[in-house]
Amino acid sequence: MSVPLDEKHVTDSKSETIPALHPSRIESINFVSYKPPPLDTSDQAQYGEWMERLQFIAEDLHQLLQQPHDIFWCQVVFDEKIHLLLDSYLRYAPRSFDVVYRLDLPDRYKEKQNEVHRLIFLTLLRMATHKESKENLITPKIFGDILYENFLFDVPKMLDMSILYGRGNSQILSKMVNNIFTQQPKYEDDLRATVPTILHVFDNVIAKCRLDNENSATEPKKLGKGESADTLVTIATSDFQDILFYLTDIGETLASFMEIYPKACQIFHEFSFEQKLANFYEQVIPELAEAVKERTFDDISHRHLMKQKLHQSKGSLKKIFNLIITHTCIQPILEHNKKESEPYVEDFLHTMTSVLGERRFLADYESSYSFQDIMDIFDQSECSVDEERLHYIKNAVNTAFATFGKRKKPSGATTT
Amino acid sequence: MNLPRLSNAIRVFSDVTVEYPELKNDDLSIRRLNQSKTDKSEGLSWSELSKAAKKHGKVDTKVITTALNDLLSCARSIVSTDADGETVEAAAAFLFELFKTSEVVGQRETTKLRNTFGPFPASAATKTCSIVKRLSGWLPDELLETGSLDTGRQDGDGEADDFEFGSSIKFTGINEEYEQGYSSSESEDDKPESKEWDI
Repeated sequence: MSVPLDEKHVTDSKSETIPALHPSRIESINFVSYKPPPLDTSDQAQYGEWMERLQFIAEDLHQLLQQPHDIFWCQVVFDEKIHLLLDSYLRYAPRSFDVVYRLDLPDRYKEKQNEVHRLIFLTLLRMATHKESKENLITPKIFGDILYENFLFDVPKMLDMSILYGRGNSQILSKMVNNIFTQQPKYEDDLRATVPTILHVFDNVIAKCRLDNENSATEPKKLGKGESADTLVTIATSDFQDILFYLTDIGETLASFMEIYPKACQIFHEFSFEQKLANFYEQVIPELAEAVKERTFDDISHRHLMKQKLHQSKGSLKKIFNLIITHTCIQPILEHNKKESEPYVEDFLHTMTSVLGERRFLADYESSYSFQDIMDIFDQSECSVDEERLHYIKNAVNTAFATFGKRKKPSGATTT
Repeated sequence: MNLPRLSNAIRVFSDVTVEYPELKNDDLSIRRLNQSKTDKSEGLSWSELSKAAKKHGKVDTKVITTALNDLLSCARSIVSTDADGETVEAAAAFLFELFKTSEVVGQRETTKLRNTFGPFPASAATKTCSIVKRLSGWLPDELLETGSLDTGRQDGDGEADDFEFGSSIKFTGINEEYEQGYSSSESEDDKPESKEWDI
C-alpha cells in the first residue's frame, strides 16, 4: 500500500531524515506575478514587457508541472512566489466579459496568454487533487488542512476560478471545487461568512447609484454637506461605466460560481439571498436602464456597450435567483416523495410570496423563466401544493409581466 | 487598469483570505537575472566569485573585500535600492560576468543592462565597469576564462521535455470562451473531454 505524502520521509543532503513535505526541498524558481495586458495597443514597449512576463510565467509553470508529486507540493505550500503568481492571475486575468481586453491582440500574444491560462488551470487542478495516482496521494484530512491553512484556495479564489474557467471547463472545475469543499468543510463556513459581505456590496452599488436615500424615507434627511445632487444621469461617464462593469462582474461571478458549485445555493438561501437580490434588482436595474436611455455618450458604440452590460447584468442576476430556487426548492421537490417534499414546497411558496412586491424584477424574471414551467413541474411531481397560494403568486407574476414585461421573442409558451 | 471585481471586494471586506503584498515591477528584473544565469553554461555565482577572489586574488584580502563591497553597492543602485540581498548578489555576479572582459561601457553592455534591469544610472554602470576591471585584474586568467567553479545547474528552460502534469487533459482556451459569447445557451457539457480527470 502506498504511503501518503504527509507520512513520507526523505534523507536530505546532510543525511538527515526530514518530512517529504519540507521547505528545504523547494526548487529555486523565480516566479513572477501576472499583470493584465496593456490597454494601449500601440505601445510596443509595454507589450514587449508583458510578453516577456508571460513567457517567464509559462516557462516556470512548465517547470513546476514537470516536478514529481512531492516536490510540486513542497513548492505550492512553501514558495510564496507561486502564491503571488496564482493570486495575481486570478485577480487580474481578463474575464471573457471584460470588453476592455477584447482587443485584437496579435496572435502570438493571444497564444501566450492562452498558454498561461491553461498552465494556471493545470496548476490549480493539481493543487485540488489529493490522489494524483495510486502512488502519489495525500491523506484527505491532511490535504484539506494543507489547503486551508496555507490559503492555497479561499472563497474569492474559487469565485475567480469559476468566472475564468467555468464557461469552457465546467465539468473538471466542478470536480475541483467540490473536492475542495468536501475535504475541507471550513470553506463552507467561510462561504457563509462571505454572504453578508456580498449583501454589503449590493448596498454599496445602491449607494454608488445614488439610490440609498430613497429607502430611508422614514428617516429625516441630512442637510448640508455630504449630500450630493448627482443622479445616475448626471454622474461622470467613467463612474457610470464602473457601476455597470461592477454589476456585470458581480452577477456573472456569482452565477458562474453557483453553476460550478450548486451546493452554494443552499448557503445563500440561508440568508434569504434571493429575496434580497430581487429587491436589489428592483431598486437598481430600472434606474440604470432609464439612465442608459437618458444619458449622453460620446458615441453610439459606448451607449451600445452600456446597454450590453446592462443586459448581461440583468441576465446573470435573474440566473442567480433561478439557480437558488431550483437547487433549494424545485430540485428537492422532484427528488422527494409527497410527504418529504412539503417543506420544500412551503419554502418555494414563501420565497415567491416574499418577492411579489418586486414587480419589475418579477416581470423580467418571467420573461426569461416562465412561471408556467414551474407549475408544470408541480403538476408532474407527487407534491401537494396549496393551489390557492400558487394561483395567487401566478396572478401576481402575470400582472407584473402585463405591466412591465417584455417577451424577448416568440417561444410558443404561454403565460396564462 | 483595475476593474471593479466582486472577488476583490470580498478580499478587502471579509476575513476569509490572506493579504498578499502589492505587486512590484522588480520581479521581472530578478527573473531576467535568473534567466541570464540559466542561459549561461558557465559563470560564477556571487559566493563562488567572493571565495575565488579571496583565495586566488593577487592582492590583500581587505582590498578585495572592499572592491567586492563596492561592486555590491553598484549592483544595488542598478537593480533597485530596496532589492533584497539575494537579488543584489545575483545582480553583482551578473555585472561581473558582463564586464569582466570589457574595457568600457559599450553598446553591448548598455543594451544588456537595459534589457535586464530597465533604465539604470549611467554613472553606476561606469563605476561598475571600473571595479570589475580591477577585480578581474587580480584573478587568474583561467578562472576568468573557464568560470571553472561552475555548479552544474539543472536544465531550467521550462520546456516540456519530460512528464508534465495535465498534458493529456482537454482544455478549452480563453479565446474559445470569448467566441462562445454570452447569449449562447450551448452547454460545454456536451463537449467531449480527452481525459476524464478523477480527483
